[in-house]
Amino acid sequence: MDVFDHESELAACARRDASALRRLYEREAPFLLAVALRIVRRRDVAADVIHDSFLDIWERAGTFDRERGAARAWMASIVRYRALKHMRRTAREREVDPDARAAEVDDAPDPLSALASSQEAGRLHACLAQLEPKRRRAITLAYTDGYSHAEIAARLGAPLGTVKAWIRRSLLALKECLS
Amino acid sequence: MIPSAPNDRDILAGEYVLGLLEPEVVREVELALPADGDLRRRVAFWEERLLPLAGGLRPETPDPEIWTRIERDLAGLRARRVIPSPIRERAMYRVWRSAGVWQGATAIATAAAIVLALLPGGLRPRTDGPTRFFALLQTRDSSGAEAGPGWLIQVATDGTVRSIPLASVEPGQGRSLQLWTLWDQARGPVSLGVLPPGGSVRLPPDRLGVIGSGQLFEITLEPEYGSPTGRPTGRVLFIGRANASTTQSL
Repeated sequence: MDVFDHESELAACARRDASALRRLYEREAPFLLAVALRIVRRRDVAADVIHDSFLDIWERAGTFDRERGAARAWMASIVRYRALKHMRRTAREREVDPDARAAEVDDAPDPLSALASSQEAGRLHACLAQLEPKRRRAITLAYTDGYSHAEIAARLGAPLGTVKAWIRRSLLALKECLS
Repeated sequence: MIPSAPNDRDILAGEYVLGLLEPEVVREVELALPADGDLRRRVAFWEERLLPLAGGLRPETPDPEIWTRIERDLAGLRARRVIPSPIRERAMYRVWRSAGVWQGATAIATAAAIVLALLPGGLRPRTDGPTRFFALLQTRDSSGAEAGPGWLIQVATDGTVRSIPLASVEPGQGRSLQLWTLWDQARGPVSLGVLPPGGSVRLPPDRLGVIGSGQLFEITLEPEYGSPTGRPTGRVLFIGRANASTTQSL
């Protein structure tokens, strides 16, 4: 049985107990690094994202509200937003062609097929399964791979406007299904 | 513009979590989140419900160098407070939330007056004519969490702009803080300049082209000599909107 208590460790971070941050790091860094790496696709950049995110977690531990959600989701969100901001910023600076990213070899498993087997995951799986395959893929490309609308459109060979509409309708369908 | 219809708010929150919003809209959302509990709940819904999508990723062993850097920078953070303690932030946040001070500009004016009253004498702005507008900038982290008031921007009737930090801020080696204002989404943020060490500055009246209620001010972390692109490139550290100063008879 898993007894690691993320919420208590975060509370200890808020009390400036650095050993709690270390325990959170040891516990979650491998997972969070995978999350960052899948989005930024470069180990050096992913390492920077994890470094910055853990300093963020330390600084913001006192603002975490356990009534608002789980600590693990909170930490993963900090990592994802940092990774996403890096991708959007560098895409603008380098004027990255969305087609180039779409052509990247996708060697990682489809997140849907690899969904962890928890109860929460089962629910999400069932709800995602109700979406048409391309619409489902649009959601997972955005969430897991950090693709932009344009990159999703290029990858799925669909018009940009169509992809935007898919996402919006899929979100409403998922909200209904998951609530 | 943050929508009011529940479905539109769910979509906005979902697109925010998926990372599909334009940077300007991300800023709007991050600006709205601290005062909008409903939107925070909708964002948290997606953050938590979509997390299993990452559950299937194969964990990666981090290079030991990452923790070494974290530990080193942590020591720096603890030695030299960059941002007020999260505990204090949270207490401050509760006071602000419970007082409902974000409900109206008058309330915000009162809150700013309290902050001003608490400032040591030396930090109080020397006015260049009465204050016409002020913006109390909230300390902001990368993911949109509010961390209490961190900066005050004062615009005098003659257009003089004063930048007054409420906490000591050290951008770090090779970095600087840059002040921006935004009055037109289409034009985007306009630089008011790189702030000197310490962050306190008085800008001449001609620097600020336009000023009006709701005008956005923000301070971003930039390279030493400022953003190379003329647009903010680093994370937003402080952000807030201008409020018209009210006249009170005492």
